[in-house]
Amino acid sequence: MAKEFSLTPEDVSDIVAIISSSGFDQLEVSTTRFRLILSRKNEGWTQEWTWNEVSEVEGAGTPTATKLSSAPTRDLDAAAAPVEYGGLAPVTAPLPGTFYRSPQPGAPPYVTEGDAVEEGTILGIIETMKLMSPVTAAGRGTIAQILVSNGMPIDAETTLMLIRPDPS
Amino acid sequence: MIRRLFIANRGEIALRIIRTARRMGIKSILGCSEADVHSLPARVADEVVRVGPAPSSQSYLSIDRVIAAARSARACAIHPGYGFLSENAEFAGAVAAAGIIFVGPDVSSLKAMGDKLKARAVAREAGLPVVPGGAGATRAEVRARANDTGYPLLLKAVAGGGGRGIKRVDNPEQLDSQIDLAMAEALAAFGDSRIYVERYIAHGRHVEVQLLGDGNEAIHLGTRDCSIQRRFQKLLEEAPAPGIPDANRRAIHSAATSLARALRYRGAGTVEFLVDAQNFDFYFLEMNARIQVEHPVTEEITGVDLIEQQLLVADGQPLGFSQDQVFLQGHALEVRINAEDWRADFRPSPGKVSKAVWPAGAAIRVDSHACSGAAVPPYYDSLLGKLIVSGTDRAAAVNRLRGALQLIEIEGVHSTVDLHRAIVADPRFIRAELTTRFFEGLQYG
Repeated sequence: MAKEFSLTPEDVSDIVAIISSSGFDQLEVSTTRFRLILSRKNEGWTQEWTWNEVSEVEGAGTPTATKLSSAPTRDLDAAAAPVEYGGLAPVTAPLPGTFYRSPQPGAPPYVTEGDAVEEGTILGIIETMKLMSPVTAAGRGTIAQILVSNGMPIDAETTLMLIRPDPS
Repeated sequence: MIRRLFIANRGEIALRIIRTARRMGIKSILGCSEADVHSLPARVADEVVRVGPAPSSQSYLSIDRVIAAARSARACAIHPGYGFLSENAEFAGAVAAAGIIFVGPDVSSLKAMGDKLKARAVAREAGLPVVPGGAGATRAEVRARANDTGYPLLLKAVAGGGGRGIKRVDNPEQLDSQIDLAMAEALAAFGDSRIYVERYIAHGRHVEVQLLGDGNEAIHLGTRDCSIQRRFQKLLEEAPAPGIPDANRRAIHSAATSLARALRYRGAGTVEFLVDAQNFDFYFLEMNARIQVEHPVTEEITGVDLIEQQLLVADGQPLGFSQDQVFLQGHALEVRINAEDWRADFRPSPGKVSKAVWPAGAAIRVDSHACSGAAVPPYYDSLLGKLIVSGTDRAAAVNRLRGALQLIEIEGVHSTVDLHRAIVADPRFIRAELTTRFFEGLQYG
């Protein structure tokens, strides 16, 4: 099987050098594997790469290619729809990652069901991209229910715990 | 020569290693987790082997799984990249025991430099000055050491490196909670929760020296300045370190090569120093016995392919050139673009990159696995890519960087591009007034 065609960064620099002095503002290179768009912008050039899905079947002939569907636009600041918890206040994860109930393995958990908490009490830690972020209580109350286990991978907005707020 | 190279890493560095392997006619085998099977490195590698599930502990950090995968792929060598197992002496030993070449230094160097306390002792023995501080085996001892060292101080991971697991403590009231967080991060990042104390030096510059050794000879490839950091994570690096008088620069080079020779160091490594911004006194911080994220700026000013040099040394060859054949020309800058919402305290922003437009052209280099449609999994670090520019001098490089940053468009995840636009516009940056406190004084949105 012939080696698949690909472009190195050096190739891209060479191509940009060639088309810079032309009248062209854009060059697109499309293969079954990828699409590269080089565009003139301001005083320079940009590169945008998109790689296509290729079937992974071993020994297939010409690999079939389906373009990656364009990602649905994520409204990164959209608030989650409110969920009712029968008067209990949910503690939601501010970001995705792995949830830990204790500061380190073997140590007692930050909180257990029945504990009293107040604003700023640390309830757990979420590890995301190597960063440890504390999860804190928003107000005074008692831990009514802990919904996730130690070391569990969680998404952003996952409800981690339910707190019974103190009557104000 | 090595024929089949297993890459036990991911993201931009995996891509970087594949590129050099391809140039050298070496087959690249990417060992990746489930979360990375559709990544750009996986598409570009000659072969792909799944090492394990997404969480690092079950894949990239699992010695057994990585070696099993490399064996199943009949690899003759493993390149560990940076982070993960790259400085893990047990891993290097297990690789050798499996009859595979480890692309990195000897186990003895990894042991000496991997334990940051031991590294300080070895450096002191080799005649290098070190930053005042010390260790404690228990929380109580760490507290006592903190008392001796005085505030502000730093808590650092003994098994650490790469700026991870470092906490700055400004007063005794903060100490206990910072000890907890430092130990937790150390455990998560390095599998070892031990920490030590180090004095925080107020007007210091982080200056490091790139080294290459073959076990007999060691040479340096100049300095890099990595002072612009946020919470000990480098944001921008440049080569060479600007504004250091020649005599001091030579002393720093010399200290670094002394340490490499004392270790009989094999491969690529970097000695990090804290340099007083006013009088250029310098102190040994640590040695990174691996390739570093910021290696491209040194490559741009020397013309040396550091990954290639690593592979040649790993293959048993002596260094192909001597110190007087190393020439530093011009100036290079690198910015790290991270998937973080810098307006929200740099909260990590995993997800999917819907669009990634990077600059291209003369003296512009992009080392990135983030293409349009790429996934950014939440299990690993937040680095999207590195933009590296060079110029005949620093002013030209800064100018080029300013223009290149204007061309980047990342959509679908938050990114730190705007932050770098602010750094490059900062008068202190333009005047090369660099200290590790640079970031605190940065005016941004």
